[in-house]
Amino acid sequence: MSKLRIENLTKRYGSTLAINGVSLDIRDHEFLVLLGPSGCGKTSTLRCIAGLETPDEGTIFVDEMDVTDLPTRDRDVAMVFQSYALYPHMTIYENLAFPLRTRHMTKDDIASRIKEVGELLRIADLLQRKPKQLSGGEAQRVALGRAIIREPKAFLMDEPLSNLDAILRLYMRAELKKLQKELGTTTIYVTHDQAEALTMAERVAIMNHGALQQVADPKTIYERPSTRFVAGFIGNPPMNLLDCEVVSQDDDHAMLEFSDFKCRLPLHGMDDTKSIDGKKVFGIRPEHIIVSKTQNSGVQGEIYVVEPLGSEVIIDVKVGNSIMKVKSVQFEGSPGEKLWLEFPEKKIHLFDVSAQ
Amino acid sequence: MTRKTPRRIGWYLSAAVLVAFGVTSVFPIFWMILASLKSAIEIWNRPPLFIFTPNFSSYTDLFGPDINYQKFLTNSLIIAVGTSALSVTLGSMAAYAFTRGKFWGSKSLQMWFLSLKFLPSIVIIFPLFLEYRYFGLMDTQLGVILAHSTFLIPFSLWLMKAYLQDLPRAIDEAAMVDGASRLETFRKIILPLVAPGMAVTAAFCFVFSWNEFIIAYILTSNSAVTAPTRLTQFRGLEAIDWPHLFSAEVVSLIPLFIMFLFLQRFLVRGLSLGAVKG
Amino acid sequence: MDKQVLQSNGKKGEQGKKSGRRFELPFFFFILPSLLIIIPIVAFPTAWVFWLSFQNWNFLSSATPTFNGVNNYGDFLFGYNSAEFLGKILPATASFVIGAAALEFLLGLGLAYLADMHLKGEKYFRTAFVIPVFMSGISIGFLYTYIYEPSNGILNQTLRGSGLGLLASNWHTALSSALPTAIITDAWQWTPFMFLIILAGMKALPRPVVEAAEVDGATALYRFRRVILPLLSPIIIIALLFRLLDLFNYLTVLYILYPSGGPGQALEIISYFALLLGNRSFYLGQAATIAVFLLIITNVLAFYLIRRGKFA
Ligand SMILES: Nc1ncnc2c1ncn2[C@@H]1O[C@H](COP(=O)(O)OP(=O)(O)OP(=O)(O)O)[C@@H](O)[C@H]1O
Ligand SMILES: [Mg+2]
Repeated sequence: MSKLRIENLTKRYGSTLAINGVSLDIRDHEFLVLLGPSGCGKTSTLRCIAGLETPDEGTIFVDEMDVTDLPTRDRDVAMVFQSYALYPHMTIYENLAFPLRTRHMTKDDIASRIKEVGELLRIADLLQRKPKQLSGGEAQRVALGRAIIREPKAFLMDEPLSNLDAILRLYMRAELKKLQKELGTTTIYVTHDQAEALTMAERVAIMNHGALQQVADPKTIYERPSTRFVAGFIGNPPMNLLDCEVVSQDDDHAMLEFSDFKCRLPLHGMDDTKSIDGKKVFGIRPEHIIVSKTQNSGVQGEIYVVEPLGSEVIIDVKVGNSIMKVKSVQFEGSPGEKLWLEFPEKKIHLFDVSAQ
Repeated sequence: MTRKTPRRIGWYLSAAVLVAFGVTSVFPIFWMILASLKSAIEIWNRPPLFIFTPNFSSYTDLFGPDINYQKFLTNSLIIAVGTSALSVTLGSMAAYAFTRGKFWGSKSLQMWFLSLKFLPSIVIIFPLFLEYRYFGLMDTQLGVILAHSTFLIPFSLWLMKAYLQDLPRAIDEAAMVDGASRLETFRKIILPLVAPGMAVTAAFCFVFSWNEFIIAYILTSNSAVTAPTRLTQFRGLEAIDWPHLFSAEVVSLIPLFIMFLFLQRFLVRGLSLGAVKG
Repeated sequence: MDKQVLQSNGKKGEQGKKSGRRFELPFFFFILPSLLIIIPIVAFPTAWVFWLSFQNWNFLSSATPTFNGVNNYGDFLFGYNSAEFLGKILPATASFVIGAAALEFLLGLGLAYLADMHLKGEKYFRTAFVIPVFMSGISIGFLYTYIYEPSNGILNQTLRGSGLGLLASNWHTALSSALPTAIITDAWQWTPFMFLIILAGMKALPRPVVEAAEVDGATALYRFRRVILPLLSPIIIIALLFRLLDLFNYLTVLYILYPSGGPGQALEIISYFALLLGNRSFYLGQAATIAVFLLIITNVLAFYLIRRGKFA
């Protein structure tokens, strides 16, 4: 139950730059999700906070105290590992007791804590078993139990649900979220599953190539991605991104020239396009494109593939030489058919080319 | 049918070759055991004697006042057990440090450590003799234990590293996060988990220490002489006292045979030091 | 229930958390005890041997060594000892070491290939085959002194008895047969080492690859040479290096078979030569020089092995 602050964290492994100047503030009681593609440095960041890795540069504060040089055990954070890392030679009881024993708690206190946590996580019946005799979900709850039992200043969780099957994962997502609310412990949760991130997080921090891209609540991340990377990473399917050039601009319209079509765009819907010119990246989410089979003012394209997904349909539309994905609730059509796409002005994003 | 015949022949041929090699491996030992039950004359009989009245007197002599072989067996046992315990403990600690930690020079230090496994004992034995005389370690069990450990700590390091590398790092990291110090993590988490590997390593160390010759031979003269080295004393100026030599050999093989039964399953890993998983 | 969890917070203060940093034993301290044993036993003698290799010291004639630069090295490489060292000792070492390693490798490979075909009997064969590995060099030295004895030893008696009397010989004591006999004696003990490692390697071969070659119609020999052997080669190289290093340190069996040197120096391989030099001639400076040569050879091989096998 503490604030965490990371300043300018940098970590290299030989020539790989695993973390590149990350600064992050985590509020007390907050549930922050660290999201990003594989290898972007999420685990490394978490390990630096836990003290399992020494950062090359940067400072880590827990409650305004500089812990950068403190050994792991003095940081008083708990970690839930992807593989759970239960001690195989100990019973579940001993596993739960271990973090308390290292803190020299008395036997009776340990027993009563284990009783409380056992009931809270519904693992009271498993206490005499060994980790090998547990199912994935049970082992997961024991790993959580071992983290919460000593009431640490923060939970660090590295893809704790990724070893569970899909249904259990959904269930545990909700459980975990509820538990964190009840305990109120500051939590950093690492995942590369965006659905997990968006449903669980109070704020999401998105990383790529070791650098922080955007830190915001899920709604903002979805509606106002700040970089082209975030836009292309979030959403299923992610945002359509097309290179374009702003060729002319008058008071309320801009003319965008794509590689093989042009589009006139009203400007007033966007707040970050006061003075746009030069090369840009145009973005629109598949679910925001309006399709119509009759000609209108929109851009013309033709159907390339139609993927029905039950409740909705994804249509790949060929516009010039590019493919745009469109999500629609009800649609029927066959490849080759002509279509017109309209981009509602409020849903359009323009990104700088340079920002990754 | 016609296709099967050559395969059949191949099967029998290969089985015959294997049996021949198996017999070749065991026969000399069998022959030695027979010799240990023969009299000095029967040992050299023409033709070789396979059927005779066994004579256990050389075995009883062995434990009599003249030879007093139990003394040497005890020495060997103390030295081999002491060496195994010391080497495996220190080797495991070093393996933990080398697999889990990186510090300045750790890579070179580890290379040097491992290379000591192959240090020819002949290179260091004469100066070591002088050093031991100076420090009063000549002819002591402790002296032999320390010298054997010098070769077996690297061996244990090598083998224990293979076991430690198989242990997920997340487990000992979890212990550190849970508040255990490095030493506690080693004692309470690592050691219990690699205990089977330590038993195997210790058994290998036992066999090596028991069988070692040059060090035990040169650094002892009387009170710390080991059972196998004592065998050389059955060679007189003129002749060899074969019956006693062979009964002593057979007796000193017994602990090795026990280790052999235990180690069979782990031989590949032990002999190739973890290079091949056995 | 969650209230309860939160309430037990009150105990936090008693959990003995000290502010500030507790001492954490650095990893180096886990290595220190080993170093305390190893350094006095290895470092001093090695340094002493190096120093002595630059001295002239006959143990019997003078009480103190005198510095004579690189003369000991010069003598062995170019001077009056070079005929013996370069002409006899090194060739004997090379023949013995390479001969034994090659024989053990070939036998081990062949037997592993055969054993791999006999899944049921393989276990019994392996048990019998491996026993000699556990024997001491001393036992083996005496045992083979007995077996090879020219007139009444069982080997010659068996040969004569089965009409092969022509083959009977003074096995380890004759100049011509001493080296092959020593090689075979070592192979008796150590072929199982090669065998076990190669067999383990064969069992770990990716079955689909081997089977694919079979389906492709390759003959057994072709499969063995072109598929199995290349896949096994990394393991074989490691095993050979281990064996070579052990053979360079080979001593005990020779010392028992020949307490005062083999016939015509045929078996005075470098390690044995160093022992004899110290024992026989009391030229300790020269013995130290040979020790340095041996140290260089084994270290080069050992470091190559450790690198190649990625052991460090
Ligand atoms: N111990 C290490 N040695 C060398 N490189 C490492 C090490 N650990 C991580 N890296 C590298 O650092 C980068 C970041 O790794 P990290 O494990 O933090 O990624 P991640 O975001 O957790 O990925 P994933 O989602 O796959 O778990 C990667 O390029 C990885 O290869
Ligand atoms: Mg990761």
